[in-house]
Amino acid sequence: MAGIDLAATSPRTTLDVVGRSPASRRRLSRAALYVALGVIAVVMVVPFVWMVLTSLKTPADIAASPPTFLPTEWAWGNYADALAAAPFLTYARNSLIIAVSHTTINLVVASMAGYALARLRFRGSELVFLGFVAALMIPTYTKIIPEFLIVRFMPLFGGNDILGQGGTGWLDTWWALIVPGAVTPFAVFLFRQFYLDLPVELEEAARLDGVSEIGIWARIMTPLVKPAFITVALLTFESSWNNFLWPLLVTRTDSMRVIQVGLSVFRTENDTQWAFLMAGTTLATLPMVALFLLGQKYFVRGFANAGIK
Amino acid sequence: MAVVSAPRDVSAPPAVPPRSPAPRRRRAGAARRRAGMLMVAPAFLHALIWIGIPVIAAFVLSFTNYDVLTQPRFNGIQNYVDALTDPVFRRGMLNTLVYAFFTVPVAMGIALLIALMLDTQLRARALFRTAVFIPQVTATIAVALVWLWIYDPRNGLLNAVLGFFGIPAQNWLSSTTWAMPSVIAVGIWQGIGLKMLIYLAALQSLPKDVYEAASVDGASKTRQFFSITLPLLKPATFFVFVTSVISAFQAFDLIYILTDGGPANTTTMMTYEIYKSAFREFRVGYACAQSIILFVFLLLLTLANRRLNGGDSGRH
Amino acid sequence: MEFSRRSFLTAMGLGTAAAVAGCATTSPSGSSAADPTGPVEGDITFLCALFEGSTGKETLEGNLIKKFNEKYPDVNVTVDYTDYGSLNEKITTGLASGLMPDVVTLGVGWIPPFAFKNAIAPLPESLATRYTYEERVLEPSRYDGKLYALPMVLDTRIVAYRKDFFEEAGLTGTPKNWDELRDYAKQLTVKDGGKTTRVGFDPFSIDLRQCWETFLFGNSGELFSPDGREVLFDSPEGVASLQLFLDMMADGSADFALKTEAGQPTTLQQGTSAIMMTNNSLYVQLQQQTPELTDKIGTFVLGNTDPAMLQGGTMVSQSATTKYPAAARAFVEYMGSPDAVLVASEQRGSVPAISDLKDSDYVKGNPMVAFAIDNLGKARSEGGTPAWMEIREKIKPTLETAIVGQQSAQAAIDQLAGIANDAISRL
Repeated sequence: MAGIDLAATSPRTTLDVVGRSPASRRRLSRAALYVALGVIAVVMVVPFVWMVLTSLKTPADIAASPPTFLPTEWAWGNYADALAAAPFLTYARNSLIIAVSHTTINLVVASMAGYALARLRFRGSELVFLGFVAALMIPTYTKIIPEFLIVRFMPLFGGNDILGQGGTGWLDTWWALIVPGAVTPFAVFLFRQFYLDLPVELEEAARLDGVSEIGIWARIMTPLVKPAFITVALLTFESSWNNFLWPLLVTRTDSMRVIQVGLSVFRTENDTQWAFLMAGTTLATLPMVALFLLGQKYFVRGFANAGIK
Repeated sequence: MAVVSAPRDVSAPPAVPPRSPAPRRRRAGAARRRAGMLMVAPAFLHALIWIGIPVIAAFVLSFTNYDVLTQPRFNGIQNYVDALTDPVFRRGMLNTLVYAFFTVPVAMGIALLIALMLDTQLRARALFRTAVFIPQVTATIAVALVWLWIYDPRNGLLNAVLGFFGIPAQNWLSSTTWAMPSVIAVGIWQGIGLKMLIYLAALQSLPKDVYEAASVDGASKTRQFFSITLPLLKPATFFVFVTSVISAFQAFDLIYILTDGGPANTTTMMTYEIYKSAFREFRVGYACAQSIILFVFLLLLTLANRRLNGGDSGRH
Repeated sequence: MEFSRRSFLTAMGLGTAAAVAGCATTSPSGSSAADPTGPVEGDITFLCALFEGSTGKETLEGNLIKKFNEKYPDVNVTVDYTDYGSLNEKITTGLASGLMPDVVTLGVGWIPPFAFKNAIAPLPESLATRYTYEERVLEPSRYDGKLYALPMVLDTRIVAYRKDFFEEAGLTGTPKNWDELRDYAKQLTVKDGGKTTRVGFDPFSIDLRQCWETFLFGNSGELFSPDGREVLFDSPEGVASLQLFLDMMADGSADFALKTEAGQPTTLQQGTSAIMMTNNSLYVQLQQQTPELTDKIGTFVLGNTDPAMLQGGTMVSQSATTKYPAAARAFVEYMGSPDAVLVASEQRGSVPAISDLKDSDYVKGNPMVAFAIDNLGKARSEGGTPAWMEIREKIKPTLETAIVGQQSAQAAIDQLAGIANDAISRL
């Protein structure tokens, strides 16, 4: 099959029947596409916009009924006040360290495992794969107490003896914050699916050239699934950045707490400081949005088959 | 995820005539298998410790009446009997199934549609994609508050819009009939972003030349979609389906804020009941039994889907 | 493969050992609490659901704990801050792993379950009379006649009303019993066409469980017997308390769909209700959001036969398994003292539990808190049974079935009684 580039020609002949030029027909459908996407985008973005607007309102505005969309008085000071309410800089630093660690570890370990499950058949690999999928099916709240126990009774850490008794194990350490969530079955599953249908020929050719299996994975197959990497990176970062309960449980000292724990300061039993909460949440969300926008340029058609024949 | 040539016999080496094909193939195969196992090992070990052990612990505890305040006492399958006969948990099971049944396919369909729209040479496509993905990263509390306002019977957007068309206002979240559909709508809306992302990534990996060849052959866009795109998307679809069902079954945060499981348990979900049992009622053993029931549900659903679709790839 | 099987088994062994060890170090009955009258020294942890944020931390650590250390320099207090919602999770994991904090804040209704299962230690009776507490305020801190906690801050449920709406309708005074309440509510309801623009009475802006309890107590009903083993709310008083809401909905003067939504001002502030069940913290909210309404809103305590004001709140307690009981005890005593209680209340707009503090500037400056303190004689609390943790979550959904018309009030109460009896039988 020759690689003819057919993009220039327009194969559709039905257009001529309609009597309009193909160009204007395309322009019309383009316009319709933009409109549709615009509407969808607005529908999706409304809560985010609302969140930002609320963060700039005074309590009187928030209490206005019926609720107003725009603030009557722009309370830019909310951001400074919100940041002063808790050591958010420390929390952000911690969240960043944890999120980056989780993302890098997950990208490497999960992609390696996903690749192996997709392409290197060994006895039991199907079962292992189903095991990973099954691991997704247990709710977090069920796992959290045993996970906490493992962290607390980790032998030879935090004053524990070889049997894990006597001390506090990994509690209040970076180990507890980073290790349990470093690799996710979700990522393994995703990578496997993406590695699944890459052409075997590439693999075989590389093998003949004497490349090791790990080399094949790292240098040949992985660059072909860039979108999968971006996706896993984004999702791992996001879930790690937004994690609340686990960091709260395994840390006692304030200096190891994370952003979401910090934001809970604004929700007390009796009332919630909505403006501050939204301000803090907006700030917490911005890195994610920025990362997503940046990651867009890797979302391109990555697979060129020109070199295969 | 592409098929670029006719399937070949994978085991036949293309060029070099083998001197003694059988032993080399076996050796080569063994090396591959060992590499495979080694490459899976770190992830597998991690999952074994941090998920496998907790799951086994949960399984064991589900046969006890563990309440963290006292020593666990074995009580057989009493927890399972209690869970399966508890009208509230049963309602939770029903609600979860209904919720998943409606949110998963609809969100998947819409997400695929949007992904297809975004998979073109559009200007500002990065912006559009970010917009669709934003609900995924917007804090649940903000999402919940906006929807609470939308559904507000007096000041809400929905009733205002409906009133414009002469439809009478409804009590969305306070009504036993409408609470569940309202929650489902929010679930669909929230679930689109992630699915779209996966589909988009999958579409980006599809090869251009198959489509070009098909166009030359005169196949319409629709025909191309159904005969080429959809089958090639099978791995992605399987992934999106499984993870969507799992996350639908574990839907919790949003519902908690929107309806607190009400009114009168009409929107409570299995995961919420599990959370309440474990952390509000201190009935950890019972919560573990409820979790195992949830797990079995999901396992059966996934296996059924796998069986029905005959695996998830076109190759192996 | 050999290696992976071995590591598998190691992991299993590790995990089982962890789980077993974890359960084993959970405190058995007959606690190991050493002599609490020893020297006051040691490292103690304080799990605290109050004093949030930077200002809270400054108040607690920079101020209160510093003063505490002046008296007891050999005690090192580490504070573990949490929000109230995650308090359960923190306690559960703490208990499961044998690392229960030495001093812990708990909510109303939690003492009997924790005391029954020996998770917290009894306190000397002398602490009950050290400061002026209303006897009712100490009720939730007791189990089996012994004192197990010291109350710090209270959050009371009171009735608030719009004086301007009352004036408009020509109503003087406030309702003294349910008949009057129904009557007032009917007169205060405003309809526009077929739609109700203002309900006379909004009981749904607070948790239905606590609202019903308030009315139950106000009708001379009880939740449980003094030993907490018998359900008493399935009485005619209990049913009537629920029925009242249904009747008022039928009158058109209450509407389940018309309640305060999260993120919005209360129905009273919006003018969509004339009388509303609320929390004493409303005052702070009024000041911030709608200061012009401060003069127009009044409060009263309602009852049918016996006016009752439901009190929730936070208490401080000592763990039964602490390694430094003397230090923990001293800290509990300190946190229960007026200094700590006052600043804690001030930060949250709550009611200080010590009645003497009603002369403080804070209370004098907050009319709703002052009102609550004056009425502490009518305070009633929920709980009262060791099975409370299992029952309380089920109350609202069960009672809601009657509110939305799925079953009668009697049936809903009976169903709830069944659930409560089940929980009690599991003790």
